[in-house]
Amino acid sequence: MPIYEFPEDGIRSRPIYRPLQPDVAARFHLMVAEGAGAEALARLHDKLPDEASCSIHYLAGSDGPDGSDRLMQLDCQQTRIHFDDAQLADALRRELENASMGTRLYVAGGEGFIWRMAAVGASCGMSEEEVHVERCGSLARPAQCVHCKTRVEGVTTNIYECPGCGLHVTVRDHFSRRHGAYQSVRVDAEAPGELPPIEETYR
Amino acid sequence: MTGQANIPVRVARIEQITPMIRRFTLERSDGGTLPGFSGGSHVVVTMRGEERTHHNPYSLMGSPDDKQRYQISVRRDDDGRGGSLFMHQKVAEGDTLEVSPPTNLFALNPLAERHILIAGGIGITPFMAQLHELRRAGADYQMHYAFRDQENAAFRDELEAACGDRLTAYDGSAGQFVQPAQLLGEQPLGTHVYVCGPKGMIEAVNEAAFELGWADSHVHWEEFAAPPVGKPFRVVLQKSGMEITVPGASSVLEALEDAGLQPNCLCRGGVCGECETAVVEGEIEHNDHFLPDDVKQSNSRMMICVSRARSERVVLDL
Ligand code: FES
Repeated sequence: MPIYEFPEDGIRSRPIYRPLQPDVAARFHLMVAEGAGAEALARLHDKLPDEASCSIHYLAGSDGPDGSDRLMQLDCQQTRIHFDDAQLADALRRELENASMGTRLYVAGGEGFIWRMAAVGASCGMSEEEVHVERCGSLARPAQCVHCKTRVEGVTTNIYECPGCGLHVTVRDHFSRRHGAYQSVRVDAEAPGELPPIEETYR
Repeated sequence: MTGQANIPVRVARIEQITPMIRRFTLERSDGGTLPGFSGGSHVVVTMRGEERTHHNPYSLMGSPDDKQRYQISVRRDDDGRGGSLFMHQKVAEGDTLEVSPPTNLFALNPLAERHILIAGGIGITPFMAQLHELRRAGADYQMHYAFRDQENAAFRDELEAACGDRLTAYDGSAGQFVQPAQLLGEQPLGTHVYVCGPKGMIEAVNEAAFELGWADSHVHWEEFAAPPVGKPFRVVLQKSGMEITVPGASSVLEALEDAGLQPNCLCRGGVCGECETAVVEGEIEHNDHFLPDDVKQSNSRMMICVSRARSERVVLDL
């Protein structure tokens, strides 16, 4: 039972997220979070069987509350706090490269973060079934301009100016699994310069 | 026979591999090329005997690159339903048979970081084709092959030549057996296991994988269980109003085919789901690996390729 789905009603393909649940068949639980995701990991940890072995990587200092203390209190084989996204991804990759079959990866955090970490899992050979994700905290979206492919993290407005090509683009509900980003398309193609009201939609 | 038409083939060569196993090389009767396939595919061979027609699935074991010929191996089963005996006793070089286009229900996962292949006896055949693909891709793989004794170690030399030290052989008569828990323990992420062989071996591998926390999508198995032999019974086809008898050594599917019908089917082994049929009336003895337990208990559906009636009569929604 995957923890997320991609509903295919017309053009919408926005993932639906559910709270993380432990996969009790697994032998080793590798848990990764940023910001508000700490709470989700703590909840997940409570549901693990007592004898389960687990390891935590946490990115502190990103948006949202710092859950480092909360996670350090959990009974876990290893808990590591990182201050840099790339450093965390490296540490995760190294741990996965040494991990055995029977491992599950759980990721909690903003949408850009969870799909970046899920991609690390996939590149180490993990299948969808072995990677569980939960979105926590901000609804800000990772977006990619379909015209120039420039990626922007944490878009909170319905329309933004693409830093790559300078076009005004709108963030569609179409999420690309492969890029881990929503697709943005030009809004004023018909009448250049005529923009609908800009609103803060994804906070 | 779902969709595509059968292909007439000529038996170009028959080799006695072990006392029980023969390899058949098949070429298109009209001299043309055969449809391409991927390792793990099978074809259904139609054998038109005097008393009855047999339809048996066999794995393709030649190179997927070879479009001139297909190779299959048949293990003689003296207590079986007659298909393998027909292949051994009635089929000679130069004869004509029909094969279905290939279907693959046991494909390699191209994203796997490592492949562990486990074969028991004649279960080696699908791997013979897959090994071509693995070697061409330079993939990381291990081939584990268990057989009863040296005399029954079919294709051992070919495997040794192909796999070198990636092959581990297990001679049952020397007390050597595959230890699934050992083979599957401590494997890196992205490992996939594939098993083809007797039921007990498939179960042991599945159990070990489950115990070690492997995700289901990394465990692949293929069992060519022939439909079990049982008591004859009557089948009533509600829609077409036909009524036929299923003989003890035929499946419902085969009896329907003999009556000139063409029900959907692919694997003929109760795994693919293609032949699922609604049951209007009657009690079913389920022999498939497809239907969920609660559906089986409700007697509302059956897989007509392997399951039989427990009652004297069943009514199907056909
Ligand atoms: S033909 Fe595949 S389940 Fe019956």
